[in-house]
Amino acid sequence: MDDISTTAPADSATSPAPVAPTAPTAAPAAAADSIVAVDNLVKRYGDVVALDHFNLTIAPGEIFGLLGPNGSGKTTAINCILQLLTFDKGAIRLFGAPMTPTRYDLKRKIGVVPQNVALFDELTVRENIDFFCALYVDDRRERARLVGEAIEFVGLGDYTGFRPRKLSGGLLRRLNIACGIAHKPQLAFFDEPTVAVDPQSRAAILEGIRAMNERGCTVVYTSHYMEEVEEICSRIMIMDRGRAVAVGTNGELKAMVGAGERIMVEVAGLSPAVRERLAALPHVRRVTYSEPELAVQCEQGARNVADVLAVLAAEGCAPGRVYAEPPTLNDVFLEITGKELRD
Amino acid sequence: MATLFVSTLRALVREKALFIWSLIFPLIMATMFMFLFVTIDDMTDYDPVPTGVVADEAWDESPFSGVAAALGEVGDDQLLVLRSFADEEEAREALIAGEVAGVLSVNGEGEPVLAVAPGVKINPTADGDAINRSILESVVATYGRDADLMRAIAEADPRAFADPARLAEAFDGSAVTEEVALTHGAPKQSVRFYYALFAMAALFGAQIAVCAVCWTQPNLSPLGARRALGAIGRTRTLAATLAACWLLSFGCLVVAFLYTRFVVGVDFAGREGWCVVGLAGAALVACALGTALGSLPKIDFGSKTGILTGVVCLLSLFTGLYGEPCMALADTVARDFPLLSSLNPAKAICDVFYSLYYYDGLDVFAGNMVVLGAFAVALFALSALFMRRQRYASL
Repeated sequence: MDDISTTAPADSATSPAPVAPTAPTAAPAAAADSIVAVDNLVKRYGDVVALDHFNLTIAPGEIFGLLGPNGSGKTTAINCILQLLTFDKGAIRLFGAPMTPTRYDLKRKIGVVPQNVALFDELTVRENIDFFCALYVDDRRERARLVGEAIEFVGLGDYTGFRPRKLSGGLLRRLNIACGIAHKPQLAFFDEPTVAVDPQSRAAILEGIRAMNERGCTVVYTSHYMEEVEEICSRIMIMDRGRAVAVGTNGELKAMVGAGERIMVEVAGLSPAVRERLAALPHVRRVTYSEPELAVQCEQGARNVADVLAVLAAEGCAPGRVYAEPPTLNDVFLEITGKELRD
Repeated sequence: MATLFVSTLRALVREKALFIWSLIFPLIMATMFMFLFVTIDDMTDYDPVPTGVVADEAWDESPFSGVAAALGEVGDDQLLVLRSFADEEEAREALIAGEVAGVLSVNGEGEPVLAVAPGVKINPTADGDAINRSILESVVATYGRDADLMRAIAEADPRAFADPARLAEAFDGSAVTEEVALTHGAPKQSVRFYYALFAMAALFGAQIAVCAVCWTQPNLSPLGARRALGAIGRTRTLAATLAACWLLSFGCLVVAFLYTRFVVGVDFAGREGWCVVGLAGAALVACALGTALGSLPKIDFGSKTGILTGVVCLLSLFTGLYGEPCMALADTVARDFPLLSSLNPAKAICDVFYSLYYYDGLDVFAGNMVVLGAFAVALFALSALFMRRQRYASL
């Protein structure tokens, strides 16, 4: 695929200066009122810096998204927050109190849905949920009620006697979620819960997370699927190489980099000269062409489509289907880091 | 904690692969031993002594011939197999040829005489010939002593012969002699194999703990990492897990024991109850061994199972499980390197059974149980070194 980028400094005089990594915006709640407060966290794996002075503040009631490519430090951050991993520097407070490995009172309020499905293969669906619920709830009767509600919540009522190996990938993920949230936590961490999940299960999972949040549970949601994060998160942090490169609402992030829509045109046999003319348009940031699909990334503006079509018409190109996509978080990530979110 | 225990036990019970070594293996081996060793204990039974008799006139007239004939009667308590010879020369040839262990005759004074092959000596590691010679000497000596007694009675109180009960009492000997068993149970060659088998099966039960410990450690499995995030402390988690492991190991051993006792018919000298106590100690050692292996970092479950198999096979070598040469090796190591031998948990488990089988009291058994406890404590302490971390540099 040809790519004429206007974000690289030397590419074009028409392109704007590269967007510098934006400082995370202030959290909506002061650290003292926050449910999660991470201050200056540094985590190294030998010479590799996994978390580089990482800061995070999450207010009660949020669905907070951690978005970043694989290896950006999302899971490491969660494991440090939950005291599973040691870290080199920094401080972590949950529910306003310092978090340590033996703060079982704090752990009791936390639910975790790990990235890797972590279940007993030998126990049934109900037995698995009961086991993990028992890590937080001693009372048997209370637990039976919670397990029943969790089964209903994730829609596994027809599978309670099944063992995990009999479940599909989507159902397995749902069971993983049920095990993490059966005890009705006040704070829940979802680490890539929809990896390798069918669309139907994914929709059910996202709907369930929303429902949990409406009931008062604060959610920390990590993913490299920007669509999911955009869909459910009230605030989003974009991470790259262990650093928080931007924080804000979906709208704030997109406004931050001034990205406009992406114009998609189906056109055959587009010459490099035409692509250069398109790239030279004042509001165009990037042009890519993979025959027959032309993608023109624009800044915010009113005449973007008209100008692009005018160039094509002047060059004698007959466009087929034409449509415009609104800017995505991938565009934001691209602007800030100079690479695709899924690179 | 009860839920942790029950759930862990349930998960372990459903992990069928764990039962291959812990239960199926000892059952199969015990069955094989039953058929292999069907004759081994018979080999240590006593065989009547082939004895030559110079059946001349003096023999026929001597009361000793009647005694010898009684001892040679076919039956469960047959002591001698008599073979008559016409004269001393003929009997001597048979003796030198090894056809008989000794030759009995009666001399001119009516006294029994025993002739054995020249060069035969009795020694503490008696071979068959020496034992046979000893038996024949005992027969002749006992006859002589009883004959002297009869003569003395006849001289001192001839009326005693009118009372058969008094005579019987005089020759009974129970008033002045006592039968003393050197061991609690009658020595049997085969029990050693079964005890070694129990030791091996018990240590193979460590696989259960290896598996369960991997389920609890964040650095060993995603499940362990997930569990570490729960609101239950590590000590309680491990206690519930290891209790489940111990119970399952113990259960497997008890099933194998019951099979060995009541189906295979192995003799445990009537101390089956104490044997079960010993199995409980063996299961504890297995649990501790499995915990130590299971807690080793950076080694996956399959490799740990392989290591366990190798270790158990090696330790079992020094219990004599693999046959006569290994028994000799085990005995040599135990005799010449007692410290090395005492570091073998398989040997310690075997010793628990030996102490119950051979010793009259329970003192030695108690001492061996303490040794098992020491093994368990040492292995659990080693495990604690590996598992002391609550957080990890990487997962």
